Amino acid sequence: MPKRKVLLAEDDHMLGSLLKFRLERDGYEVVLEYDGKAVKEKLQGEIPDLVISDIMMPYFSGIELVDHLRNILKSDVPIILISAASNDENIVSAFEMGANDFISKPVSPSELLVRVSREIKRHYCT
Amino acid sequence: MHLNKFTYQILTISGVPQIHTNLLWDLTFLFLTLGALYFISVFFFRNKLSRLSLRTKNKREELAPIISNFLFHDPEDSKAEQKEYIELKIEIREYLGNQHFRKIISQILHDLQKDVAGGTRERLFKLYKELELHHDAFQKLESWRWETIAQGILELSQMEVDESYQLIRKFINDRRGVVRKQAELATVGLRADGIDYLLDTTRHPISEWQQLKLIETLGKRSSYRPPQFKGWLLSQNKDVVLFALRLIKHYNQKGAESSINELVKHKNDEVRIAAIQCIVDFHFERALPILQRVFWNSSNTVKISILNAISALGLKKDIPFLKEVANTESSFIVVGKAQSTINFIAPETILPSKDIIDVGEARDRKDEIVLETADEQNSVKEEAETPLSDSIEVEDIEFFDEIEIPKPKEATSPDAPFVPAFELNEIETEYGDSMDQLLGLVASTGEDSDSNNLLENYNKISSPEKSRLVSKLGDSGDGKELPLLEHIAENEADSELRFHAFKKIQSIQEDAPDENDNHTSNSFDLLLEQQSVFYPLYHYTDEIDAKLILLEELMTVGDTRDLPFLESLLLEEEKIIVKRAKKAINVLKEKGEDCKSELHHGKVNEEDEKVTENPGTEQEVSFEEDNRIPMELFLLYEELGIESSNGQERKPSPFDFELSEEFFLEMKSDALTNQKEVNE
Repeated sequence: MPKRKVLLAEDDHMLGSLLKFRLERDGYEVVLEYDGKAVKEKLQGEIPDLVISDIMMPYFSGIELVDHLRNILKSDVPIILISAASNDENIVSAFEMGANDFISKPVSPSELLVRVSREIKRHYCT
Repeated sequence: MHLNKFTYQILTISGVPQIHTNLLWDLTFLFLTLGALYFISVFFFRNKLSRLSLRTKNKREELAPIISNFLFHDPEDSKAEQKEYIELKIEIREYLGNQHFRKIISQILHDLQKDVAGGTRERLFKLYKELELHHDAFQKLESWRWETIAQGILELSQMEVDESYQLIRKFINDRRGVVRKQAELATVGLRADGIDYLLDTTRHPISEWQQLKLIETLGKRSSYRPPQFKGWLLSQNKDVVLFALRLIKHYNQKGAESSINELVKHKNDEVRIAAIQCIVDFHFERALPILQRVFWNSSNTVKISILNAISALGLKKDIPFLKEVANTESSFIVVGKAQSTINFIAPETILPSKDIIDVGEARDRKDEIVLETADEQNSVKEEAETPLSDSIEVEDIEFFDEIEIPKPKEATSPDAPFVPAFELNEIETEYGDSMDQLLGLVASTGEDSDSNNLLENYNKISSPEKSRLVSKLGDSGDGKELPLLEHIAENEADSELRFHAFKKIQSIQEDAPDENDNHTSNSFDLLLEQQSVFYPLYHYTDEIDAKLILLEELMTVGDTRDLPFLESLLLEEEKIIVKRAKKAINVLKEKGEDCKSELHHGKVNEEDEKVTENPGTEQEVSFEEDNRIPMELFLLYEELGIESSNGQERKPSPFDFELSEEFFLEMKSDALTNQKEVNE
């Protein structure tokens, strides 16, 4: 069974590395990018099976990334957003733009794994 | 020589100074070297910092997977992974000798603990202790710099190093505010009994912000069982008491009722207000008597807080106290609050009294407005009548204190149109029964007797009452009053009353059922026919010119009895006839007034003479007089060949035509002269 490709966009190197390490240990092929511009370039080449993105990122915010994926690339890839600012406005606008899930910081890597697994099952196994 | 030397010295001062060129060059090199050194040092240190930052970044990136490996290490992993973990541990132990590395790894773990949660976080704290990084933080606590101490306390508290508790709590009463606050948070965060220690030992004020942060820190503790904070209500530190009250409210510790009630007697206003607020929040109604006792010795701020508490908890039995406050207090704020509290407990007890216009005053103002309007109208009228200079100014009119309701004007002359100044309903209530009794409308037995009574009574009443009666008659809409109305229309001397009677008859006929229509219309026509001899003449021809000639003749030969006929012509469609009829009415009215005045003078003598000459034939004479027609009209009848107007055969009468009074007077004087001559 081929590994599911996950694009992880997180500007905090340590947290990104930690989550990448955890996801890779669980069998995912993770591409870590540290800013929105690099994520956008990556998406031009290949659409991953799942996108995990922080909302607050340089150049492109997570919500803009969702908009780019849904309206420009016309992709229905599952998107999980992470943010320290867990205010209602952010969450509502993220879901309105087409995000599939939302996790607030501090992130529990175990919880993130469960959510990733669930989204992939929902999207690709049904 | 001396002069030349002096001159040279002067010139050297005023001109360019003689400095050695070598010295100038030395100074130039010196400043250039200093500048270069400055820029080199800036470049060097900047470069060094950049390199250090880069190295740190690289090191972080290098350490990130190692730390991730440590954090997510599972003893049940494969042997290769276990081996890798052990090798990494050895490697990192070697690095830990480097202070810079320790600093980096400590910083990484410190940053990560903010972003991760759950089991990962727990493992992170464990790793921090395993790597003995907390010893570095302990060393920071021994620093003489307050920022280093604060950083160390923060690090130890965030990494949850329980061993640091004893070291940190010593800083609770530190003179440096930042260190003290950090120590308070760390003490509360590290152990459950940290709050007890803080409240017991702190001697410094605890700011509101700090109190909230401490409560937040307590809230982060899992399965925390707060102590009974009422014990700290006895503290000598008022900030501790205030914080204890806040904590009591936060943890809803209602068991401290008695202590809180006693706190309203505290010497500090802040504590009093906080205790009162607590009483309100917990709804301690038993505190109300204490609050009322304390009230009189309190400051205005506390008084308002007490009144707020009474408004929240008070009952109607507290209103006397509040009224006493409202009556005795000097501060208008407290008085206003007491009044609003009374209204809060018993709504609408005290009504607004300030800036409220008195009702009497309002009425006066209204009268003034009406007067002003009346004055304006008067002034407009007077301006129209008089020159502008003579016009009365509105300000001068000050004697109108009241406006009197205009009384109904009584008719000064019988010909003046009667305008009722009151409603008919009022007449009905005022005169109703008495008038009905007077006119025999009540308790009557038969129609004949009714009509007889009506007629008799009508003749007894005065002219204003007659006017009212005519106005009232016919309002019922039935034909019961029709005979009386016909009688009035036939026999009444006052033409206005006759006209009103006709109108009433008309309205009754219009309202009456169809079967009575013929009868009433006939009776109306009959009335007109009996009243005026010109009626049949008028309807004899259809030509307007002939009718106009007839009206011209009527003006010359007619009398007041023709007025109803003429007034009936006012309803004609032809305008010229209406106009001529109006003219005829005016002429006849003037004629009637002249006749009355003339008759009034010689009436008594004339009547006496008639009575003495023909005592038994008074009624006959009058009847005959009524049936007589003027001589001119007789001739007109003869010319047109018209018979008697009422269809009855004309009786031969001694005077078939009317003779003027001069004729009778001449006859009388002649007779007297003849009699004198005979006697002589």
